[in-house]
Amino acid sequence: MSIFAGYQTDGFFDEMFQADGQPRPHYRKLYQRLCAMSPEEFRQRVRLAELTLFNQGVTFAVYGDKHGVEKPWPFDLIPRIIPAEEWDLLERGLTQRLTALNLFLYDIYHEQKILRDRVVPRELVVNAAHYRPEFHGADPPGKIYVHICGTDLIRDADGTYRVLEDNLRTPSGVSYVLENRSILTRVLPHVFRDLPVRPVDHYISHLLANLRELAPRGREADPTIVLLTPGVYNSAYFEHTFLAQQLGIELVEGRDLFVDDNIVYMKTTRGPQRVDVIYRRIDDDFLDPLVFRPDSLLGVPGLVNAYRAGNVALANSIGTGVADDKVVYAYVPRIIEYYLGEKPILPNVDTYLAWNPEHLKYILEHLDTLVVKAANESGGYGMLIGPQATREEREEFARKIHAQPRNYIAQPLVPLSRAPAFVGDHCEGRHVDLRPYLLAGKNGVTLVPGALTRVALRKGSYVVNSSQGGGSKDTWVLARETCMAQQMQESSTVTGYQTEKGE
Amino acid sequence: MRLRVYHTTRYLYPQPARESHNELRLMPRSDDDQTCLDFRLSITPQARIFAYDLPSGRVHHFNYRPPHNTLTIQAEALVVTHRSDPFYFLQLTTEDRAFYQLEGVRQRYAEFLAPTPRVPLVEDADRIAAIARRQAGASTASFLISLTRALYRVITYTPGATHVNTSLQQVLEKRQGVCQDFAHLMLAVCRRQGIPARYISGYLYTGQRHEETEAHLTAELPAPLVSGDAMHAWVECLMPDERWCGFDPTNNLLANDHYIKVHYGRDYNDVAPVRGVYHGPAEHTLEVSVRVVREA
Amino acid sequence: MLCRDADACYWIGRYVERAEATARMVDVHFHAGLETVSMQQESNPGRPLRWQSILTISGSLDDFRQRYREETDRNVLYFFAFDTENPNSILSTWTKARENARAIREQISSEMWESLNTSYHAFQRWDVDRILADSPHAFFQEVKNASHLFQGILNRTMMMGETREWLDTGRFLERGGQTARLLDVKCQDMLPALSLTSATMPALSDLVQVYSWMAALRSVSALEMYRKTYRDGIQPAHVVEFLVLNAQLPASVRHCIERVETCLRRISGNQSGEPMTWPERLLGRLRADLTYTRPEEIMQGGLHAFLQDVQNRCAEIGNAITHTYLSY
Repeated sequence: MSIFAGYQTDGFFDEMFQADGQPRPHYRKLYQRLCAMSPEEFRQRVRLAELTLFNQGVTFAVYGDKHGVEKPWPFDLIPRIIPAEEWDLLERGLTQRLTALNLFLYDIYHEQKILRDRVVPRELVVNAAHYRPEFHGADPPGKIYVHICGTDLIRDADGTYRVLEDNLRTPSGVSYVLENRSILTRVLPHVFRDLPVRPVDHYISHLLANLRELAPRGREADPTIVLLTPGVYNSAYFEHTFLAQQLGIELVEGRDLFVDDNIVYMKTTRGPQRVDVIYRRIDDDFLDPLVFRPDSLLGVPGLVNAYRAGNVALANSIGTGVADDKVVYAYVPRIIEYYLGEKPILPNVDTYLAWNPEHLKYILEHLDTLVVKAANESGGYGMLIGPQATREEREEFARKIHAQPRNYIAQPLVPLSRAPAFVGDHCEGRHVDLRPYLLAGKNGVTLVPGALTRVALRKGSYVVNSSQGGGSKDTWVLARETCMAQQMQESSTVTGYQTEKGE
Repeated sequence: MRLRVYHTTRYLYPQPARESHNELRLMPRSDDDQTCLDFRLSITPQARIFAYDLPSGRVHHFNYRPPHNTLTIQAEALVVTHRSDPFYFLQLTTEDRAFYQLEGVRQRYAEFLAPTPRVPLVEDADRIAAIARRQAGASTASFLISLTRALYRVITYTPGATHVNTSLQQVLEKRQGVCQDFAHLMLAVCRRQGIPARYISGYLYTGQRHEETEAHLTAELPAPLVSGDAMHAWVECLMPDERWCGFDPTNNLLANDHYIKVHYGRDYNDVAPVRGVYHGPAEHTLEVSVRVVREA
Repeated sequence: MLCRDADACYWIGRYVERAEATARMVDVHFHAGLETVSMQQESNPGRPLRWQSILTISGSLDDFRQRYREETDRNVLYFFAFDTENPNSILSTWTKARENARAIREQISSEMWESLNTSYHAFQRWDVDRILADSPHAFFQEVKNASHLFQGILNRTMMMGETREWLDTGRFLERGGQTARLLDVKCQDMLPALSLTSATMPALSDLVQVYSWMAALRSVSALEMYRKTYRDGIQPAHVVEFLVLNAQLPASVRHCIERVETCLRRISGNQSGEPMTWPERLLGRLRADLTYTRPEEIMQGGLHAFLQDVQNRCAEIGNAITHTYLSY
């Protein structure tokens, strides 16, 4: 009996299977190999993977859980496969999107042309929670605000990729892309055989090169780069240590740094050492108590002014959250057209803004079919899934929306695509999303061919966030089989850091 | 009018403070109404001073890391003010509310129409607006003059009645406050009426008897002008000619050439004259002295 | 190296060593107690002193008495092994070592982290009933082995560099202090009966005392080495000389202090004969005292006073290290 026995697509778009129950062409080899394993054999591999994750301490923390601060990272062994032509589309679409968003951020912190031309309503920007008027007029190196981005995509009923959310502040999860791959190659090595799975390891080299190029003038030769973490209790702390280790840079907390006369130093056993580039994983609000929240103990007083003076670089820059505000999201297609003169390659999910009186009326009349989201919450918090909510929950949300229309948006419930996930001794369809990671630098936007596929492990659930019962899958981007050798070569010349790695 | 400002801020710590970082918004603006000719800043103990510019004005900053028991910030400015007749531009009779409903206006000044943590748009503000409307002419300027007077009457200027974090609702309940409270309350009323309004921090020259100023709005018995021996705060509202006009509800005055603007913002948080963090004892003593003198 | 990271390494070193020292001490004391019970009971019915010295060594007598009514085996074993309110219990110290390691995972090898993490989970599978039902020795052996495994992995997987120096600094400073303390308390337990002021120590005839000294040696794994070094049996003066002044014994105070000094000189890069920092000055002075003092001199001045002084100086060295290198 195979682990796919009795598998049903239930009318959803399934990543692996066609509606007729046959595996899609790009999944065929994987399907055959997995079918050759008995459920018991597969379960052993699952246990092996779990043990590896546990001993390595690949974990995440859940806020509000007073017991185990860490939980093992739930990992589903069946990979998600993206064929080459789909990836091309995603790559072009995401590059276009991030390019436009960086232009948008530069504009709104300088001349505000797009606001004066009334393409985006000015009030939505200047009154957004994450807009930073304190940072108006400052010039980040290379005019780039977002260096590191993780965009959430979903596929709808007919398999169309749509952008659900741009994460432009401190997106996390890329460590799991790398860890998932490394575990899967150890636990199920044979399933990779002869499949043109493109490697993801060079993400780290790209990131390091991009961080280095941010170094202030005169410090380019050997810049000191650090990763600034809120500390061990942050939910993404594992990732911070992982990235610092992989990048070979110091992992620092705010208390390790200080600013003197607009220069940032870290406290070392041999005295102060100047810091040139900070990959910060602390939100704006907590970055510098002098400029932002004065009660923050996580940040570094004086950091923002040192940055403004160009004596240290930050990745990402300050104030990027205004562009991933869920209300501004609705305008991203227009933002792309405004700056690039192109049609958006990847569509948004249709979005209603409670801020707009006509939309507000529609939202309140259709609460039972819509998904309502708070504009500035993430991680699946502050959300109402209308069709699955109780009447009381809907009424409570209606009140909240009325009170602060600017803070809410609504979207139709998209029937997210599903992929098989292993549960107990067989596979069942579970909803998935896709988060590719983009890097923006002087030479434009780059994507590693890979992504985090998050999966809602609870049956029927649409919430893929790890804090709420989500897991993840390794995500394989396939090279074009015919010209694979050539493409590998190309990408290594483009990046220059391609590392040797299996298939 | 040539005015010279001496502004000293001194922090005294019971035990040594260290790692002190401060941002200063103390330098008067140069704009249509005034020109800052000279500005000097000195810090004791001595620290290197840096600066950057925001649309609202220049911000200075410095840090001092060694332990210290006192920190003194001295600012001296020479400013020439031009607005000798604040009524000169005001249109007092014609109805002009349509201007404030223009979508372009609402967008251009969106940040000065929105609530802030210190200026929630409380409903009680409408009652004050209604009182002001009753006694006002048709124009917005007339309404704002009336509103300035209404606030002056509703709230009693009481030094020490409130502190820096007193909420607007508490001020309304106590009907007492200092210039910051008057300004925040006026912002709330204006913004609820759809009139873009911004918080101004600055100095008021009080050396002259106020009866002589044409700006005095009421014929009632004169009270001495107050600026609280510290910086003063008032409000600027957007007029239908898209100029900003200053109103001082604490003194029931229009801002004339006795007023020196330092920074503007959405509320006090944007313009706090000294904002700092340090390691050390939580409690400290703050001494502020402000002197404004007229020069020939 | 970041001060905070160095501080974490230093404390990992100290906490792992402290967990091991606690395990050794309780293990030896528990088992020595079993053998000497019959003898002790003749002279001391009710064995009131069975656990008192060890509670004193760990500096936790007051804490223990505040929270426990009786010094039963069960209470004491729980207190030393699992009581998370006792900051020096094995579980507490190991947890803190692991917390520190978690905060600097990118600084240490992943094998080191895994070993601390795996042992942490293993210790949590024990409880006091299982210890008593099974064998206390098995548990304490597991703790000792976990510490040795950690040190072994450290030696094999860590770059020769500052991170390792800080781990070693913490480890040896802790070990030196623990040895001095152990000896101090043992002496106070046993020596009032003896005349300490005379330069010559009487040979022991009392079996209880012999067993106690053997326990002290065993708890720092020094009994066999002692036998090889001294052929005339267990003599208090020899034991003191061996545990304090011997240059080769891994647990001796002198050896530990020398190691700490070497580590700190590598950290500061000081190759001259002159001390460069405050901790180096303190360490050099203590090392000289331990090198040039003869056991008779210690006995003449009073062993307790001497050991007190050594412990105070170890604490002062710890403060100096923290102040000079590790405060952030």
